[in-house]
Amino acid sequence: MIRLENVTKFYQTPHGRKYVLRDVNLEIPSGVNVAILGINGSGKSTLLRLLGGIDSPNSGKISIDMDISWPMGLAGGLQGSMSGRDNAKFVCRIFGDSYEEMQERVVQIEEFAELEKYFDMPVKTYSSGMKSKIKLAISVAFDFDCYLFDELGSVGDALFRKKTETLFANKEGNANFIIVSHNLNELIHDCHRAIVLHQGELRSFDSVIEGVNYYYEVTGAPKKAAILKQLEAKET
Amino acid sequence: MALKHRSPFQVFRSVIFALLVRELKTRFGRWRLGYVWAVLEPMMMIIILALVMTYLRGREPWFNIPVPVFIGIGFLLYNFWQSLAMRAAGAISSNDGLFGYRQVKPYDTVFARAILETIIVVFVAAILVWLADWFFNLGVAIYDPLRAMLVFILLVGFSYGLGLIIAVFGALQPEFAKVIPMVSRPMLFISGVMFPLAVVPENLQPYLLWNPLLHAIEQMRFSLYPQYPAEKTSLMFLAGSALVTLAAGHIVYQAKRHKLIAS
Repeated sequence: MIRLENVTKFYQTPHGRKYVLRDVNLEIPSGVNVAILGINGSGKSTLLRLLGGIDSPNSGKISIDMDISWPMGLAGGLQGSMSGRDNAKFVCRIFGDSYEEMQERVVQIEEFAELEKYFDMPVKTYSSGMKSKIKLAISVAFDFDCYLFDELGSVGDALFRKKTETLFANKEGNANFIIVSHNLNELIHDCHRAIVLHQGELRSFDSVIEGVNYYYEVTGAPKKAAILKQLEAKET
Repeated sequence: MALKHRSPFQVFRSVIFALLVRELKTRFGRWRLGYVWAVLEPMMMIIILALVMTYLRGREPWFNIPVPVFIGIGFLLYNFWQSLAMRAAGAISSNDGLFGYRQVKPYDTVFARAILETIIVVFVAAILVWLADWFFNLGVAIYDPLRAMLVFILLVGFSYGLGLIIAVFGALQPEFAKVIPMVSRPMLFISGVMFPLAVVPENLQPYLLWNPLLHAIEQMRFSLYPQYPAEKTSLMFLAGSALVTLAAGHIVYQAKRHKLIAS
């Protein structure tokens, strides 16, 4: 369970305070996948950073009673001059692994990431798909109850995606995720609930379809035919 | 494998260790001689400077301290202070990709770099003492080892406090990092590295004595050679400076820590 009580978060800009969240109350039960929707700059990443404990709110309280991952996004999390293996070891070490635990976990990460010889090459030589793969592989080597994905992209090829899905379906204790993505198809397919962020306000929906509809409403974005079709299919 | 639930101190300890390994790998991992460079680099600098200064001054010692040892002590401490300040200046900005892991705080990156510099200087000092005493037969004996240790610890405190201040401002204002070498290089000439304070004209001494690094270097020489005139410098001044920079560094960090992560 994740609970936000009267959470306010703003950034100081030359034009005054820019509110990302204004007095937000929210409860996310464990065991559901949540989609976060909103236009660029609406505070989706900030919300994930708050949930991941990287950033703290200006006022209000966030209580989380489960093991939550770090937010995984396109930027950050890896050290370009180190190899994938050394990056994996770094994360194992900060999570307090003993030497034996680290060895075991790195083998797991190497197998899952499927990077072959690239696993021992500097991360700066990786393509963005490979970076996403190693980030995902490192995080799933730890048993989090909840994973935070921040536009990690469609990780790798179809095969890899299949493997990830199976892994999430089989993970002990029901691992779930909170995801920011611009791929609405994927969100509708994977998630149970939606949160829409718009101009500092947060609205929570019990179904992704309602959330997507509201998102279209407030942003005025043109609906795409493919998504409409999927919405209809799900409704009936 | 289940996740461990650890105390903040345990987390801090494991993060420092992870950062130390990372620092060693990225700094020295790509060279053939690898970690040997960590010690070799500052050592070569000290030896070369000591040789040049000995050549310039001749063999006449400074107050019973052989010239190479005199220069060695001064430059070793100066070099430690300078590299800690320089390393600290970039510590936060060059690790900002890692703050996505909530265990890693900007503070830890500065701390880890300071530890690494301290370990390096201890190794270099040990090797140099051994070289000077056994190999070059310069007769280095540490007359007052406790005092020498205290001087070193106070210098570490002073440098770390300063490094923390530099790290915070360097991260918030990258131009600040450019100023550091401009200030730290001239310090080589006013910190008593090349000559003792006693040969500086009396009327200039009070100005130089505002520099804590001078106190550290002179006091260190005094700890090794009790006949060395160091009565104008004091451990108290060094301790006071360390207290001031440490307090200021932690206050500045505490005040700005949220800004450091929100990039």
